[in-house]
Amino acid sequence: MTPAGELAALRAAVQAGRSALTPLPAEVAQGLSQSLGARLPEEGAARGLELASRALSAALAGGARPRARTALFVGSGLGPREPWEARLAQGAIPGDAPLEPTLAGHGLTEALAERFELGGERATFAVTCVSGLCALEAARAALLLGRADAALVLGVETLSRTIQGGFCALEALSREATPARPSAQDGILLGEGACALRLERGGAEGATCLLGQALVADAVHATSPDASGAGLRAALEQALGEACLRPDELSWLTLTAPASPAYAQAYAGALEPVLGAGWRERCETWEESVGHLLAASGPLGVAWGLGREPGVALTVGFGGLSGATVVGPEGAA
Amino acid sequence: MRLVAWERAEEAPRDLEDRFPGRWDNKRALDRPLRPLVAAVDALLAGRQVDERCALVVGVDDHHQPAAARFAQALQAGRRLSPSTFLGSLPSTPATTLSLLFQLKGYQATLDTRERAGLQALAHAADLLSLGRCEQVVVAALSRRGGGALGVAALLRSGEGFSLEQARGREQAALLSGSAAARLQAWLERRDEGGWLGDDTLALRVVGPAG
Repeated sequence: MTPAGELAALRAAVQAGRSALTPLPAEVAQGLSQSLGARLPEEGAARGLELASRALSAALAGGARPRARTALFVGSGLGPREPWEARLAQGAIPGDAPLEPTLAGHGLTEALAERFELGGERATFAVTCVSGLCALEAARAALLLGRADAALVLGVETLSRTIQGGFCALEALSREATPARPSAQDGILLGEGACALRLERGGAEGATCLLGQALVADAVHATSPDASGAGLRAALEQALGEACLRPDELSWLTLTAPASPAYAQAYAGALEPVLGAGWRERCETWEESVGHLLAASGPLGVAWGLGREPGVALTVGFGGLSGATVVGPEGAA
Repeated sequence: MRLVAWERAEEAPRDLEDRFPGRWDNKRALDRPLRPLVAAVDALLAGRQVDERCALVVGVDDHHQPAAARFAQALQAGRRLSPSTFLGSLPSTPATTLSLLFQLKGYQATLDTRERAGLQALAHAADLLSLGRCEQVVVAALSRRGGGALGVAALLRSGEGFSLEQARGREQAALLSGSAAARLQAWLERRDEGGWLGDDTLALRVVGPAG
C-alpha cells in the first residue's frame, strides 16, 4: 500500500515517471522546512492501523495455513504517531508517564494480531528504516525452527508530523525539491506505506524465495553512513554469499534513499567494486514516485522482486545500518 | 550456545564519556537514560575478545518517551527542533550508540515490545546463534527505573553449552515481572533453575547446562 497504489500500480507509476509527492496537509507540515511528501488518503488517529490492515489483508488472501500458527513480525521505526499527536492536539501532553500501550509501536502489532486472529508468536522491531529486515530475520527463524507454519512480515510507517519534523530537524530532507520538480538530489522526501509479506517454509511452485540476507552496522556515525560504502558492500557480499549467486547474476537492485548525497556516495563506493562500472543500469527505486517509505522499504524491496529473476533489495537506515536482501525464483541459487 | 558473562548497571562512572576516544566526543554527555546501559556493556566487554561482526540485539520499553514528549511539545509550539532530541526519541538509538562506542559491526536489532522486549531480545539472539547467523551476540535491555535507568547486557557465543527452547504462553512457566531490563536480569539470575521462565506471551527454557 503506497501513495501510488498497490504494487502493480506503484510499478506502473515508477515506469511512467509519475509522482505522488505533493504538498502535505497543514497538520503535518505547517511551519516545517520541507512540506512535500506523499500520503495516503486515510484520515484520523487510527490511520496506521487501517493502512497496516489493508496490507495484511492482501497478504493473507489465498493463504491456507492455520492462523493459529501464523506468526506476525512488524517493523516500524517509530510506530504510527497519529494517536499520540491527536492527544497532543487535545491538550493532553504526555510527560514522563509510561507510554500507553495502544500508543506504542507494539500496540499496533497486538491490535493487528487480534483483528486477524493470528495465534502465532509476534514481535515488533524498531530499527529505523531497516526495521522490516529484522522482522524478516525473525520470520525466517520462526519458520526454520518449526515454531510457525506461516509468518507475516509487515513493514509500516505513517508520515506523521513527528516523522516529517524529525527529518527536518536532522536536515535529511531536500531543500531544492518543489512540487514542480520533486526529484532533487540534495536530500530525500518522505512517503508512507505498508508492505506485508506472507512467508511459508518450502513454498509453492513458482514462489519467490528469500535467498539471502545480511544486515550490518558500519559503526561510523550516529546517523550517517560510512562514505566509503564499506557497510553496504559487506552486506551485499554476505547476502550474495548466502544466496550462492555471483554479482553478474543479479538482474535488478533496488536502492533506498539514493537522493541523499551521503547515501549516494556510499552506494557508489560499495557497488562499483562489486558490480562494475555499469552498476547504475540495474538500479531501480520507487522513491521518485512515492518518496522514502521508511520501515516499509525493506519488505517492499522483497515484494519488488516477486515473479522476477534474482535481484537484491538494498535498504539503509540511520546509524550506518545497511541491509541487502536477495530474492528470486526457487532454484535460482 | 554459551553465556559468556552478563552485567547490570543503574549508574555509570563519571568518566564514561572519556572511555571512547575517537568514537565519542567526550565533551558531549551521553543521553542520561543510556548511560547505565553503556556502563553495563563496557563492563561486559572489558578484556574480552569480541568479533567485529558480533551481533547486537536490544530490547527497550519506554526509555525514549521523555525525549519523544519534548520533541512533540517543541513541534506543537513551533519551537526550534533539536536533532538530538529526535534521535533520543527513537527506540533504536541505544543500539546505534552501543554499535558506535564498541564497534559492533554485525547484525543489529531493537525489539520495541514494552516490558516483553528484554526476553524477546534474548530469544531473537538465541535464534540467530542457533541458525548460524552470527557467532557472537550482545543481548541488552534498557528500562527507566525511578529517576534513572537500568541497563542489563549479556554476551552469548555459539558453541557447546545450552540451547534455548521457546514457547508461547506456557501456563507452567515461572512468571517474570517488571520492566524489560528487569525481566532480562531475572532470567539471567534464574536461568539454571530448570523449567520454563517467562511471561504471559513468551516462555524460555534452558536445555543443557546453563553455563
